[in-house]
Amino acid sequence: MVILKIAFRNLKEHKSKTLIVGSIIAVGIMVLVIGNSMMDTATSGIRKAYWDNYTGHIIITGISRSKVTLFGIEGGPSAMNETVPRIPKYEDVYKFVTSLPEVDKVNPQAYGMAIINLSGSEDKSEDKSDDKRKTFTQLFGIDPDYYRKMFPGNLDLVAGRFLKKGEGGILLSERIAKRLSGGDELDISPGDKVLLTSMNDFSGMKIREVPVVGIFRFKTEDPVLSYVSIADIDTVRALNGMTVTSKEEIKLNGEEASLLGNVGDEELFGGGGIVENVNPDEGNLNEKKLLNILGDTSKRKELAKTDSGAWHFLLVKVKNTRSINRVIKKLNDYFRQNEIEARATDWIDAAGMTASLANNIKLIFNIVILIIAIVAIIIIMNTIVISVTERISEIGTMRAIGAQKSFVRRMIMAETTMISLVFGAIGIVLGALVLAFLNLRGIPAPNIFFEVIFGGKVLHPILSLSSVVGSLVVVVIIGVVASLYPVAIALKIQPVQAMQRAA
Amino acid sequence: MKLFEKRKALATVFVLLILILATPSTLFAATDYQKILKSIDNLRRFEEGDFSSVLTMISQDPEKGTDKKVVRQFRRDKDNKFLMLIEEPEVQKGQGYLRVGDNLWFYDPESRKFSHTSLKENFSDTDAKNSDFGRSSLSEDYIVERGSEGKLGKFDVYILELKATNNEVTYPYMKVWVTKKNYLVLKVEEYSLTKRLLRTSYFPKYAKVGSTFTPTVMLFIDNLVKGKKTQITVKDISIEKLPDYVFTKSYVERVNR
Repeated sequence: MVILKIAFRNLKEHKSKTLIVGSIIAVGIMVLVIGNSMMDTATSGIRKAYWDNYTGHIIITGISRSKVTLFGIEGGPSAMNETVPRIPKYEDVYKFVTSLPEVDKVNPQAYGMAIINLSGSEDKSEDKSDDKRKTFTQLFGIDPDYYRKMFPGNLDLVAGRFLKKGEGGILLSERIAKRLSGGDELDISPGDKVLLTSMNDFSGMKIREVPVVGIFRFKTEDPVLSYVSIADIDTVRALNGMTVTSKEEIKLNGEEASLLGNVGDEELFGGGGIVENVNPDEGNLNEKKLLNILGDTSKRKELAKTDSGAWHFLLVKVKNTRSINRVIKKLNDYFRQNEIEARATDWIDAAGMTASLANNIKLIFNIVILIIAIVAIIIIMNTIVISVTERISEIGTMRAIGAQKSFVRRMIMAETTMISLVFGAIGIVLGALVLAFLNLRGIPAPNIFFEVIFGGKVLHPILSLSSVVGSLVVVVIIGVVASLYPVAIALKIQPVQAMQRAA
Repeated sequence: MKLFEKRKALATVFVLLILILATPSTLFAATDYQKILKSIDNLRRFEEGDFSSVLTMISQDPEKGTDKKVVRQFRRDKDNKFLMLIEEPEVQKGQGYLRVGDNLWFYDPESRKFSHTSLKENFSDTDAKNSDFGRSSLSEDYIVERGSEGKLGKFDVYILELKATNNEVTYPYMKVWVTKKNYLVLKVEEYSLTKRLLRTSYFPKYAKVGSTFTPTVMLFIDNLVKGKKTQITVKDISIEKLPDYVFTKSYVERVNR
């Protein structure tokens, strides 16, 4: 108690220094509280939006070297070459997932991307300038029943209706529909047909013609999602080459693959002549041959048959969000035990770029705060050192009349802790006030980048408990660290010297 | 005075002579490489008649493994037309790429639909581009920025650095190694607008068909994804005249019936 009294008296005595140190702490903590609360609001906003509308709580995917997200594979140039893996043994995985008591709903889904254009434009015009009304869309291949149950009301229909079970068709995102219309006025309506063209490594380039069933916009305004159209799963499977049969083993003769090893200029051009005279085949390409050049094509249909059990993702909603991590562990244990090449993970991986962007920005913000904290510590430390030096004779006298080293240490510690806590609390209150104001007013996102981070066009930040606790921890650390050096100086003071100085 | 005028006239003639002699020589140096480009095109084009062949394409991909395609190629260079019909693998049989002038369509026999595609795109999922299968048009699409002489393996070559003259081409910059002796292209490095190497192509074997040279072995190496490449071997070459209907959409549909 005595220590606290002395500490309080010292702080009162050195008002200006106390105020300098205190203001630095208060402002720092205020920034920390506001920044982290904003980040937390944005992250939990994005999280809730994704949980409720796009990813569910858990995502199950096949295993790939790069990151698998609902929007395809993410990574460098080599990832562009990878395809989204299917969930192996889908039936078994589905049965296991739905047998778990924690699981509420599931939704199987597949990803695709395609060039899209209005059907008929290819025939009407021989001119490729018509390609202007051709654009690119990402596709979610779905089963309408599962999808609607899992994500009821996640989208607004601008025109038309939702897909029906077993129906082939596409729900165009409003942005894509506008692009196809060549302007802001929609000249596409339900019933129109579109061509989807895509490439896969099994059946090569694929074209599918599907009717537009509806035009929609997702409720969350996320630019990443605005390129996503929703199609029936069979169309997406056909475009992706998700068929029952897989690639046959290829037998090569030496000549056909002679250059596929490591060849360089020397190996290729080290020999002599490269030209051979060829006597062209004559008389082989008569009319009969030309019209029957492909021979029998009946096997093709069988080979191109899509696999009704082929899915890229199984999205899971649990009854209680506290069980998310437990369910993820259960699922991954099950995959390991049954040697299924699949993986369960949380929404952040599924959401891909958007979620990681928000998380990375929070990380950068905290790094900046850390740097500011270090600077603050140095300033505070200097101020306390000055105040300690001013009190050398006083501390010396205290020591001379019997004060232990530990007493002096505790006294200075108490001073800094007191400043930190009092001004830290002021900072938190100020932060809370600013946040309350911002919450009422709302912060509009200045551009698309911020729209992604905010999870919408306006952010209404809420004071988050974690930011308050976090800030208090930071305050205590700053207090303790900043007082270490001044304490060391104070303890070096010899009572005799100090008293001589005073004299 | 007369003597002076005579001298003046002589001097003028002399200066003119020098100018006449000097100008073509500098011009010659500049046009020389462009001429080579023209010669390359002329040598590779079947301007007189049609051309058809069967291409075997073996693609290697570090992620997707090895893939084989057999493709029937029909070309009519004088009208800038071609048709590529996939014969193997069975699942892709009948897929076709039809070029008529500036238009290139892809046909999917399964959905019986045509879709416009671009010459800049890859041919199916190989490392060849759709533009690799038409008539050679280097001299129309590129100018020689720099030319030099060198060696490639045992061959004496010209090395031409090309810059595209239009946006329709697949690659904005190219470096071409061409034999001095008969203007055969041996190697091509293909670059992006930022001069990043995207692909390297090799043409180690040619067939002489009449007066035209056509590569019979080609190797395309993707420089962005390590280990990704495609070898193409050309067989069953024919220069028989083809009926006009071969280069139509209805033919592509008909052979798929």
